[in-house]
Amino acid sequence: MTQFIPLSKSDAPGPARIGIGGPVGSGKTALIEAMMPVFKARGIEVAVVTNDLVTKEDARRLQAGGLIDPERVSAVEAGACPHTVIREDPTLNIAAADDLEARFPGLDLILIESGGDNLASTFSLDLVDWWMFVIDVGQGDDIPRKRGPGILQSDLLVINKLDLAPHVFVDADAILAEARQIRAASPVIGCRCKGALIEGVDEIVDMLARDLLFQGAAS
Amino acid sequence: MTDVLPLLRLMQTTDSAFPSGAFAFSSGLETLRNEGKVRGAGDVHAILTRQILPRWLGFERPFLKQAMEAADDTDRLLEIDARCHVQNSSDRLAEASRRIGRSLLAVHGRIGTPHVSEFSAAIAQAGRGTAAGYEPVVQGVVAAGLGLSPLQAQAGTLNAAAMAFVSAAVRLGCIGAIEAQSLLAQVAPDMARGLAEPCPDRAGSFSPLSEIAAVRRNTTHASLFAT
Repeated sequence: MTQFIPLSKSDAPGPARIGIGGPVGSGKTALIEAMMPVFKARGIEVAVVTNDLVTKEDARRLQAGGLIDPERVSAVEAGACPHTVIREDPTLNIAAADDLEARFPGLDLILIESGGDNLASTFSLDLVDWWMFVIDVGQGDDIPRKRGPGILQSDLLVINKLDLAPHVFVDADAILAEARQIRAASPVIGCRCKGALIEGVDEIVDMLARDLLFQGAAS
Repeated sequence: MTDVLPLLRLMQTTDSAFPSGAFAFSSGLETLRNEGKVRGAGDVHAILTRQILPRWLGFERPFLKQAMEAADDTDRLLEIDARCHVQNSSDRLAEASRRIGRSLLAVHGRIGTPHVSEFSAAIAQAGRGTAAGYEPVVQGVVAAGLGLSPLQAQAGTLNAAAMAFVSAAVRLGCIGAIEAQSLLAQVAPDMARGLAEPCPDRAGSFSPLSEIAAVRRNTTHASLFAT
């Protein structure tokens, strides 16, 4: 028998690549929009790759929002396969991230936003260094206990739209507690990305800065 | 073992599970579907046999063959690639070819397929960046690196092109998954006949329906595919 030689990971310095996955409408793009001012305030240079499923809506929204240089946003078509483009065949996303890295040498992070998907969605570690999965309370309080690879395997589970919880008959504290219990030692952060009271976004950026950029949290 | 080894590598690298990015391209089929010009299996069969296969046999095949013969001569490969660039009259299909070619270079470079790193380095050294690395040229380099015969290389890549097109047709709802396999089985003799013909010395194609559809692809509204 031949001896297996593991494929070595590139140790070339470059921006950390962050996956952001989650179901349609869970607030992935809104979370990116909410993080942008925090990144800017901390001097963290960012670019974004979007995988809109049927439009370039997310890419255009980020480009038009004034929060990021439109040149730093690339859209990659998913061929009706949101899983495939981030997991089984991430090559087009890798190429898009490589292009951004070459065009903007000072980048700290490249965010790769998945198209809206389901709870079985995961990112290939060929594509990203770390990934988060975003769900929201509007999908029901049973989403964490349905588990699924997105809930269980992500480096961070984000539960978004906490402000909507009372309107959709969800106990925000209970869904967060259950998610933490299901994920054991893996982190869970609740957040709200829109409206007068933004919550949890600083905490997410703190985690990225600490775990991926090896920076101290903002005081 | 030595006889079957290239065949195993051929099956590995032309399988739809091999990452190449090809799943995101429909060769104009999405536009034709959205415009109501393709409605069912008969239409898919017609586009495949009258547009996709002839384009591959007349255009992609000569570049694949030439690149395979020149796999250890990077200057010659760059010439072949540049000619593929010049002759590619459909900008959208040319971009698709470069994106898939680049994906193949990246993956085969990482898994150590012979000749690939040298060709990637030559492209970078020539300063041609994302303007080079056309799919059939890269496929030729890869085929040589895997030790394939010319017929194995051509059959494998032609089959992969047909499968990618039919897979897109399934995802677009033009045909069912089982019907797609029936269609591929029926088209196989056409593919075999095409491969039995001599490979043209010069590349050329006339597949206006799919080429123009790929160019006409709506960029402002819903689209699942890059072509």
